[in-house]
Amino acid sequence: MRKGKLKNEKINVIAFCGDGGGADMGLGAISATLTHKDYNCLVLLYDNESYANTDIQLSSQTPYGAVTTFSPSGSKKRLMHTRWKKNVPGMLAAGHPESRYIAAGCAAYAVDLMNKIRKALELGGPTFVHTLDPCPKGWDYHPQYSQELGHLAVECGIWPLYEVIDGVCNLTGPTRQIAEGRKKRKPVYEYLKRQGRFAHFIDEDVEHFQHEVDKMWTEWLIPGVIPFTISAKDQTILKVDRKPLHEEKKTA
Amino acid sequence: MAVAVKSVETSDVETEQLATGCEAIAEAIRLADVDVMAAYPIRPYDGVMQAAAKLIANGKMDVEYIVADGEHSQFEIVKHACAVGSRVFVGSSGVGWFYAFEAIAVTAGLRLPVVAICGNRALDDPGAFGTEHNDSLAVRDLGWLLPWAETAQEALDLALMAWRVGEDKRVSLPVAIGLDGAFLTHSQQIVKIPTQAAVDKFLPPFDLGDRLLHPDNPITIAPQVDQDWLMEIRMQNDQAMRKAEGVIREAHADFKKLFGRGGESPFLDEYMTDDAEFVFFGQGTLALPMKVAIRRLRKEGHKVGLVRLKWFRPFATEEIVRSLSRFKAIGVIDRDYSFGSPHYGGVLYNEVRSALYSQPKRPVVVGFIAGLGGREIEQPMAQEIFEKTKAAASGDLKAGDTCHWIGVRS
Repeated sequence: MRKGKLKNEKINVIAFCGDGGGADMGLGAISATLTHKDYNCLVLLYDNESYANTDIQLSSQTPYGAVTTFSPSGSKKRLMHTRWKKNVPGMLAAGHPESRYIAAGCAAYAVDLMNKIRKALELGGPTFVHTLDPCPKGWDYHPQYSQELGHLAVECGIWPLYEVIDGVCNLTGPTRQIAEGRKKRKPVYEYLKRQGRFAHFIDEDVEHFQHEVDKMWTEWLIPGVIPFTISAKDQTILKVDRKPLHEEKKTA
Repeated sequence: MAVAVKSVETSDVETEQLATGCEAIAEAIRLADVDVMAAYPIRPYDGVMQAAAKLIANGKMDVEYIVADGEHSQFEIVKHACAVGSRVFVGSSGVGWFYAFEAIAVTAGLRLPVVAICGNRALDDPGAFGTEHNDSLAVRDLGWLLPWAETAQEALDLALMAWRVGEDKRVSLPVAIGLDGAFLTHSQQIVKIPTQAAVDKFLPPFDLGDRLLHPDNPITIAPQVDQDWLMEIRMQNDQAMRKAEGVIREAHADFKKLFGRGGESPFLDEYMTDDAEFVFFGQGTLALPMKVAIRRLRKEGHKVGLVRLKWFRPFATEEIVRSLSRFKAIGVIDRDYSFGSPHYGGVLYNEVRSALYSQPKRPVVVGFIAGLGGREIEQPMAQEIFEKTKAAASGDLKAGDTCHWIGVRS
């Protein structure tokens, strides 16, 4: 195309990967892609939180404590997997300023997701969309609840929906409503109890899970996106108000 | 220094259980008191990681179990764990094995006795899960010891042998046990599980000695040596591989004494060869259909047998030559390919021919490529292999027409 051998036109290239190929072994390649601003390439990470094709094995996107064939719950070890889920869209947004569009979506919010894909392709260059995709087999629930589980993941605050356009972060869908204080964040138990992969959880595990999700909302600079805050002495210099949006509304 | 700490209860009687090849290896990991293992999913090898995860979750063994982000990391994790004195286990299959190749190569170069299984699988593309030996064989020149198992029992036994031989200071090389995908990794057989006490007698604790990487023993591993020292280091690897043959014989003798298994030779398993004129030669699970064929052919009056190779590296040349020189013709069955190689034969075929070259009396060697991608070697195929071998022995096959693809649709 560059040499005139093909007609010069915009062709959308969409690369699909799963959580294993995208968040584990292919993360370096996605990172590199997002720096090549001359190429139109949307990377779509389809995250069903395990290596489902090969038998439901643990990936870096498998949530804390979940049962997979690499992390069975046993009589001596209740939880084989105790690592917190890697924050992929957040880290990619933070580290690739030349990517014009990076988003987290979920097909349970179909219009929101369609808009995100459209925006990514429209803005062009290297872009990235990470979707959470409930998996009946891997998560152990009846397929009719797929959409409901997608909703719960967002409503419980576990999977925040957002987009970063040219470096500006917008929370979208119910995530925005929660942040604005218009919607109450549901307890994570509502989400966990619906899936067989968390059936071995005891109260302590649920509390830990809730605590970690709470931290995403109360301590992160941007809820579910940027996992750090600014020290008190630097808040004025950096013009950052560390209070999360919804907490502020509550006190107002 | 390595200190054996047992934190789990163990059985003091030998038991029998129904186990797949993968589950048998998981039992070996438990018995060997492995310290660190690294997992990453790919079929068919990863059955062993699933079985091991269950043993850990149920408190049957205590192993640092690390799920990696890719095969390269997986093999790097155990390489480094081994350098600090841990007994380690790892594995992969097919293209996963190739993704780890850089780490696999340096593990042998560093003389770190990592024990792995390679659940033999065809290399994509095109996609196939079934067995083919080209994944294991890709490392044949690098300094990995390469045994192949026929049964789940042999898989367990070879794993115990692997730590013993690989960790022996005279050898100090990594070992990759070949397990035929599906035929062995996923089929259940009765397996004798040895007692912990017997295994402890057989397998001493891992001790790297003065090569242990530790703040109290500050050494440099893998420095840049360039042309100044590389040849000397390569030659040390060569010498270690030469010594491995004797160490395997020693370990095999001890193994037989303690467990009463393992056959006459650690390197060859001969079946109905005493009066044989023709033999089949191969490795892994293809022995099973060939044994069935041999029993059938013997009923028809043909003097045929099987010589199964148990260790491809080190290649026990002298013993193999001694054994094979007794026969009129040998049909070498390769579950692998080596495109463009001499006579367009398989890897094993050319190894056997090369080994026999200096013999005054050389049997006819015919090559067969069969069972690729996990295709079953059925009886008509075995019959064809036999007939071609026999014809070659009587000079009926054209010269140069020495390698045949078996069971290929036209």
